[in-house]
Amino acid sequence: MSTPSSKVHYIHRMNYSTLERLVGAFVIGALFLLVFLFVYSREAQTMFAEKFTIIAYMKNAQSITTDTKVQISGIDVGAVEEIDLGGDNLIRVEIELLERFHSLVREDSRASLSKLSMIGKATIEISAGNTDLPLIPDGGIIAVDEPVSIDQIMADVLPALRNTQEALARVNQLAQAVDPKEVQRTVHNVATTVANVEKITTMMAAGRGGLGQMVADRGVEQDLAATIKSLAGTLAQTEARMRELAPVFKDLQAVSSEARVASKNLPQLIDETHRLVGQLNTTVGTVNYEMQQLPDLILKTRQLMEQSDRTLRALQSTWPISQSVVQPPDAELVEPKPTHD
Amino acid sequence: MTERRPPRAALLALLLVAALAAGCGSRKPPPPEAVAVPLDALRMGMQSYQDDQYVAAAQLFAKALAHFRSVDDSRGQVIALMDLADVALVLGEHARAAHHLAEAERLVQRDRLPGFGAQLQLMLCQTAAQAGDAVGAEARCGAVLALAEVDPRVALAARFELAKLALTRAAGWEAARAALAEALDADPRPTTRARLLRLDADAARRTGDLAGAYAALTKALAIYQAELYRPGIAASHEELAAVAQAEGKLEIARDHYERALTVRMWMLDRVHGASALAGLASVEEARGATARATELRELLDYLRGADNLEWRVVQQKYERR
Repeated sequence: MSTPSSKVHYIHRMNYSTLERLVGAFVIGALFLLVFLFVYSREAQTMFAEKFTIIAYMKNAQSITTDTKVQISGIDVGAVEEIDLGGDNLIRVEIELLERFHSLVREDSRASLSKLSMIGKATIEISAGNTDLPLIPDGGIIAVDEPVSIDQIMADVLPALRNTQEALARVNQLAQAVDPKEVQRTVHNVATTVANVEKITTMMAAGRGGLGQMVADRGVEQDLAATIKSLAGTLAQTEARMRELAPVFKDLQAVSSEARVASKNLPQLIDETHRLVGQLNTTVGTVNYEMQQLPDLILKTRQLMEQSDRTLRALQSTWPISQSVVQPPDAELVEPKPTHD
Repeated sequence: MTERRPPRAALLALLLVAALAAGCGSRKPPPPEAVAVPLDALRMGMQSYQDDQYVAAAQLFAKALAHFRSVDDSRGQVIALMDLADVALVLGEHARAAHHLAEAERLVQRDRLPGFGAQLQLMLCQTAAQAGDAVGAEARCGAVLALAEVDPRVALAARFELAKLALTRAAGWEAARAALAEALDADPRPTTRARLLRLDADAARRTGDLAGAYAALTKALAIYQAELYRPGIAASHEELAAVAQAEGKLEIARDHYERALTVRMWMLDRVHGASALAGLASVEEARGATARATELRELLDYLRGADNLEWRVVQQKYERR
């Protein structure tokens, strides 16, 4: 059986100075923990590092914010520090970089926006410069490669599409000029001729005498006459078709000469189109990937917002903030009152 | 257009201070999520209601109702339903109010929930009165006043309804007015005084005292304006416009209707907005502005008939003058 004193909670058995020491240990421990977290946090690691600043002027700073990261060869080397309006209506973007990467930023270095900037996830990429060239000094200006917009891509592709459309229209015109019935008749005549020739060769293969005997043979003679007649007819029809086709051929000549002129620019155009389509594919691929990530992103954002909401609520009810935050009305039911309609 | 990041050291220092303050302070444990969310929605809805943003308030009350339903909390559901009904009453949508109140009444009876009886009866009375059911309204408000213990604000509101009914049927107005004035002495709210002035104005108008009615309504309007109470401001302007129109002062009537409409449109009040618009159209017609009257009637048809009402369109059409 326990004595009365053993029923008291252990904390009441400690003397006052022990209690104070315990509280002090907790407070100091918490402070040490804070200092430890501060020293080893990612932000703190670069907080006091030496930095330098470069300036980029852009026509379009879409999706760039003061938190936009800056990378060289895929490594985070700094961030956008300030966005302002520069001269000539250009956007002046001040970029702060870690000094230890200064050796990579040379006069031929170029800043460019990542392709994800089109969907709002911008990163500025700086190309590592030639080591033979001087460094861009602190406060110096870096050249910028602006990304090609979808509108620009479309504007480049459209002339090529228009040329293709015109060529197809010409081919269509040619096809319409040929009468399918005439072609059918000609093909039929040719088929008859071929059949007759086949018959002659069959007889020759059967070994019925020599060529004179074959010519003397009445059947052969008749077949031959019919064949020649049919051939003559075919030739006459072919000549007539050729005469009909003469203007079409003239048109075709004109088309081919135009095509020749157009084709001079074709390799360049195709090359450019290839490049643009490649860029478009890359962009679309990236966008697709990003779109797939979107529901997850929304879910995470929602979770984050709910967590932030809870944290803020907890903060609001914590001294001393709770003293200055006006709490919303606790009334649940609307106050009874006469209608004012 | 300069945008500069706050220094990180300052942010960290702030975080440190906040952490230390949190360590020093005490806080009450947060309620569970299932309770906190609907209560927050109710609080925010109440805030919107007090700001006369009734559509937003209704959305928040509906959210609270859905959450209360999800945890089968009858009391919470009744509160949210009564709040929704109140918003519907303010916007003149008595059918919607009746629907919410019927559901609330069913829950109160099923689960024998205490504390709602008097206010629920009052709201049912107000709904019946708005729907033109004088008998039903009188029975409900009479039942409220017959209760042994009733919140004086509930009793006062019931007396208002009974006084309005007495005025409409032109019998017992004096007695109802006296009882109302006596109950009003204990009520500190200026808007209830303004409401009584409007009833007095209505009584004066019915006896042909248009000047007296106009004067009482002007006083009521001044009180509502001082209190920044939009439904009262709009209703006073509408009644002032009706009196001015009856006096043949068409320009003044038009001005009051236009001012009422501006307030109603801000409140996104479809029912009362439509009645003000109809009044304005009749004034314009009386002034000989038939083209404008036709335009307003077309807008009125849209306001009354559109399934998916676009307030932006109403605003644009109304302001095209």
